[in-house]
Amino acid sequence: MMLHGAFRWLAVIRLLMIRETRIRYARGRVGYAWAFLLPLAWIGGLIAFFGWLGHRPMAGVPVAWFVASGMLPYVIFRQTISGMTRGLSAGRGLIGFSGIRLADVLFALALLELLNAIVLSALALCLLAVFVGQVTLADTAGSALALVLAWGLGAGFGRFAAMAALVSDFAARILPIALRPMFWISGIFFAAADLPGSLLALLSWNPLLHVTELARRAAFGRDDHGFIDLTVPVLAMAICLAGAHALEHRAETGRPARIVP
Amino acid sequence: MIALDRVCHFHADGRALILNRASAAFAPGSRTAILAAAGTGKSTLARLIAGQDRPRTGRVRHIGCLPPQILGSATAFYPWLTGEANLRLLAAIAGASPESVLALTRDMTGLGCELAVPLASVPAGVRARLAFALSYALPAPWLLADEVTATGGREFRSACDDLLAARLARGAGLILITSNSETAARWGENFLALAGGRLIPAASAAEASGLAGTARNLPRNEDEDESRTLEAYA
Repeated sequence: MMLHGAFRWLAVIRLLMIRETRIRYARGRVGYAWAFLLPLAWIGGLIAFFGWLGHRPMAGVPVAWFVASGMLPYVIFRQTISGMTRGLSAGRGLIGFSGIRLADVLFALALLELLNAIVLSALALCLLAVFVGQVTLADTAGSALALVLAWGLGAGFGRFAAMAALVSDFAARILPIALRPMFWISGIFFAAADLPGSLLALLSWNPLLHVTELARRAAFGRDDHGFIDLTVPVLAMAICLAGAHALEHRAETGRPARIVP
Repeated sequence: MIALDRVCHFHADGRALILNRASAAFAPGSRTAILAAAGTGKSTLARLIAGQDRPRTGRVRHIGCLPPQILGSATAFYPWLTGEANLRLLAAIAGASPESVLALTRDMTGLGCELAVPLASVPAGVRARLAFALSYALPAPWLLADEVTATGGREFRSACDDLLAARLARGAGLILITSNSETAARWGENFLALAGGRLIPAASAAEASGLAGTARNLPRNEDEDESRTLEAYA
């Protein structure tokens, strides 16, 4: 009976994921391919910009490879957050249908984003291999860990942001704006080793910078000078999930009320 | 069984107390009509029983069953998918055969090519009929009605009534939350009145109506029901 329940739950999660792939870009002709075309275009555009500047951030590493290895964790992080917040807004109506809970919708969205991240990374590597030449990963397991951590951070923050948006319109507006600086401070344009000590100490609280550095170390096999501390992203993820859990209860029971018997 | 254990809950605006340590139990296959006056939180109570909201305190338990759907609720539809795509996905999520749900929907609503266009492009009345058809097509042990059990014209209403009667005859349970004592008397076997935040048992629809302070047995105004339903779907 329990096993049947688990299979049924997995089937529902799968159907929620299928539903999301059909509705996310339902109004466009390209359909769900946008989920990969947009981030690839974003990465491609940034590579072209670096090429145009003639800037070489890391000696011995092709610019395209440097930019892509930094952009992929960031793009996965952002895509997961926006996928979860927008997905929840479109999937809210399903809550209660056939016993579907808020947590089920969020879990399905997060899982879909993990699959997207895997496909996106594979596509990016293939495109780099075609246009840049030989692309080798110095540490495949490390690269996979960086991908999972970027997704996990996005899923944790995405869940928190989705729940916050449910209980507060202000949060729904402010969170995307609050995330914008992450683009500049997460190591897309620089390597942590190139930063002055005081700035590095300041940015070491940024969990995504640790993930970006891990992705680069795994890609190029360069020494990170002991900067990477995986407890930072893991702790950030845990804090976001705990915050989301607290907000989930509040979202389901409604706003605080004044008792008028 | 569905049970409310000392439930306290407020209206969505957070100001009015709707349930004040209310308890009730609905046995499988039972037909209960809850009489409640307009504005006392019928929809909020329905959402609580459907598991869409969690009570502020107390518990709503669904023992051995999934939370029931509110009849005719279209919230699960996605407007930019076609009617057919919506029905197929929702039927699969509910564990029903998409083909049989589609067949019953076509039969019941008489819709054909309208099912192949995004729901956002079809009139609210069509969406309302689709939602009711889906509610009756999905196999569920409970039916939960928030005031209305049907919508649309006489023919569609009659089809809804037939399906509701058939489902009840096959042993489905019904929780009908209404302000209309005539409707309550028609479908209910047990009666509760929502009064003072409590669910008070009553011997008849008339007694429940009196306790709940609803209007006396007014003649049912189907046009009014229809416009209310369409407002919800628009």
